[in-house]
Amino acid sequence: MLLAVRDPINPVMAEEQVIQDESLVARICEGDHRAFAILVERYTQMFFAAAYRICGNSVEAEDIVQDAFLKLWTKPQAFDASKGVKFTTWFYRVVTNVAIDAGRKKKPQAGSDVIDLMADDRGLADEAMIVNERQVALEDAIQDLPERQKLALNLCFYEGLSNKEAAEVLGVGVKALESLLMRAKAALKDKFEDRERKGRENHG
Amino acid sequence: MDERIFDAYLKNRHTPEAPSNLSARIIEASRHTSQDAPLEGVKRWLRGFMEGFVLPQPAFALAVLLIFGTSFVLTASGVSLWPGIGAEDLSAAFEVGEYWDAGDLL
Repeated sequence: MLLAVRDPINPVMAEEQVIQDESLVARICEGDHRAFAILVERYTQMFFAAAYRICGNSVEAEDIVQDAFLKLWTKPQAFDASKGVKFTTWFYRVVTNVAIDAGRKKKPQAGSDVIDLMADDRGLADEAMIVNERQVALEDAIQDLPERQKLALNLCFYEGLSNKEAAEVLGVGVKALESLLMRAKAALKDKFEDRERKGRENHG
Repeated sequence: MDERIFDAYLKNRHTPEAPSNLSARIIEASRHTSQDAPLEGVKRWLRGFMEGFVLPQPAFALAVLLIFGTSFVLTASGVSLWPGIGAEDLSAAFEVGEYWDAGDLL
């Protein structure tokens, strides 16, 4: 990704913003710690969100992002720009793999952060509670999806990757990705409709 | 169901902000981590493999016995363990070795 925003007040910052990710990784290969810091500052929020969407827990998401960036620091030559893959696409794969490994190692826990959020929000108005309940239901439904369906949905729907890029991240063909995406959305739609029907029955 | 309503429902997903000091923590952690040399990963794997590879003692003893036993039987029955060199040639070489003296070279 190339950020071409120029900052006339802070020329150093402006210079940092026009450096391409791929050039920064090349500098990291030479041990340039400043280049690493620029990449970390640039993408921590984005990949934290991606990690959170996979694991549903902000503490775990922090660990995942940190591990992924440290992998980049210790072994930057693993990214091969000559293959024509964007840095962000490649790094999604790193974050996804770290998250999957972490998920396999951890013991099953009850629910996600959103449930805690809901517990804290008991004093809020009914409308806010309904929105919160919907978020909890949505998060739980997504976390319940089979792993690959969840990853396909996250990458295409929430991270905004193209089908081709998401297929690269998951190491599958585009057709297989579309199938995963379709099944994920169908499963979520079923749950959503079921929930709406139950809601109407309770209120009617 | 209307696709737009469903998509709006999906878009409603809650994602928290990363802690403001997370970047700084990652950068700090990297200062205490050294970079791998290009073959460092392979070396580390090999070292880990060798350290983790434990051959049970009875199996090790059996393997050594088998190797020595086989070579003894083959040598005794006149079969060479060295391709292209007969057992007689080898014994001749050892015989030469027995009579060799450092003074021959001086």
